[in-house]
Amino acid sequence: MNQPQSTKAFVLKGSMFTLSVMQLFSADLASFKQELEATYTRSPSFFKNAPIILDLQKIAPDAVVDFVNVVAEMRRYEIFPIGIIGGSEMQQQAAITANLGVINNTKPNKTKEVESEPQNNCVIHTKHIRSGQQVHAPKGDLIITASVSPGAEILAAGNIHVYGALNGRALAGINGDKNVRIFCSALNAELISIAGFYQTNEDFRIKSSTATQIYLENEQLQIAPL
Amino acid sequence: MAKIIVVTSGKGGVGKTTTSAAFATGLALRGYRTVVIDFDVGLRNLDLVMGCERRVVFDIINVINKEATLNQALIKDKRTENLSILPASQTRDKDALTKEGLEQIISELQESFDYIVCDSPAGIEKGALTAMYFADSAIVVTNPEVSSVRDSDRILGLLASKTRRAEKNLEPVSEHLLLTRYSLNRVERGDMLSVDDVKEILAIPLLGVIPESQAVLRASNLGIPVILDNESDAGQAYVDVVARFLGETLPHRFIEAEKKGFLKRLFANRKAKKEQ
Repeated sequence: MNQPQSTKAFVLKGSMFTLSVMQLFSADLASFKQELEATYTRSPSFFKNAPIILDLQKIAPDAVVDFVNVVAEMRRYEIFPIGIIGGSEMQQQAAITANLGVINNTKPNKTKEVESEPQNNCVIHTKHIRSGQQVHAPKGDLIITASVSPGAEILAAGNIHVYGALNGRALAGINGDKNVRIFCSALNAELISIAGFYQTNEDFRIKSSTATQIYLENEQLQIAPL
Repeated sequence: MAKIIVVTSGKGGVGKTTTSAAFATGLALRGYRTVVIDFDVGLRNLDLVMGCERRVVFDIINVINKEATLNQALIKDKRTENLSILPASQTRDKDALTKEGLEQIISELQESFDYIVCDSPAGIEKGALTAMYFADSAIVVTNPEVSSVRDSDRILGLLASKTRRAEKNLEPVSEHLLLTRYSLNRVERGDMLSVDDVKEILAIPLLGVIPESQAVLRASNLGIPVILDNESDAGQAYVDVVARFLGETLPHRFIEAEKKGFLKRLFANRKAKKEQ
């Protein structure tokens, strides 16, 4: 017999949020107050009602932090510290006493920061793309710093930038992204496509001798000067 | 170490064999030891254009299959010193021409020659790919006509990807555009692509322009490379081409509206013929 949901008072779920972190450099309350005032003056509403995590990684493990006053001071500016991250066991205990949550953070987080180098999925070609050649950027943008001959085919999951004449076939947003664009210095393409919406060059409508961009608007390809 | 030059085009009938014969002869006339190789197995023409078809005993396939030595197959040109021809087979299958076999021949040739000119067959199949594989330089023969230009573009793509230099990431094969069968009249009438049109599409340096000329057919039928016909415009153009390849800077003749000079030459030729 299933318990109908309406009799439950709450349900626990896992979820992810992006939170601002305030990394403390010292446990000195006076300088903290000064800094807080200066920050608030600079941007009063930016942190308003924002839940903040206090990061203790940069302060000495034996430094005594007056959490009660820190919290009180922040609340005066309508900023809501909700927990701490990092810090020694002594500091964690003090935080709990001040009704702050503790996020268990161990070294792995730091190494993660170092490891996650910006992944560049952009593919760059510097030579003329000749007839019969096919060039592909499966995950990101495609940049070609030369011209693309008729009979050549260039494809990208992201945007396509041709710093030269685009005379071949260009297909952008091949994974379905409708917001990508095709840019070129001159246009006489045989076929253009964004996210599967394509157009061939009958009647030479796809022609321009100046810098041009192509984008999708209401599922129609628009060709406009840059 | 000999420099290997491939004469290629993609499109058929644009002037590869005519050019190979004339260019190789031109290099030899300049004193360089030159060998010209016919890669068109089954449809060999180079021996006809060079005028040595009656002296072919062994061919490149015989050498690859170790049925003859290189020296037995090489034919020394009777007219021009320093020039030799390695003919293709007429009866054998194209598959007999392998990269490995060719590599051996080339290493042997490199010891006794300064230039190795490879006359490529048309198309983009094994024959053409084998002819271009070991090249250091490429002469891309193009007619000022849309299909030829498109096919030359395709060949340029292959030169940049399917050659030894491309595969080993060495300095790329140097590319040279040779525009053949150029007719100034037709360009001016707007019927034919101009030099600038072709240069813009292919974007490689222009080695030379060979004007449409009756001398080419005459030379072919006589078995004399057209460069040896000093009087003809085509012959003279090929002389310029060889000079430019060797580093000289020369203005391009036969492409400008030198109308007066053109007519003068035309009437001079007619007069000469009448007097004969």
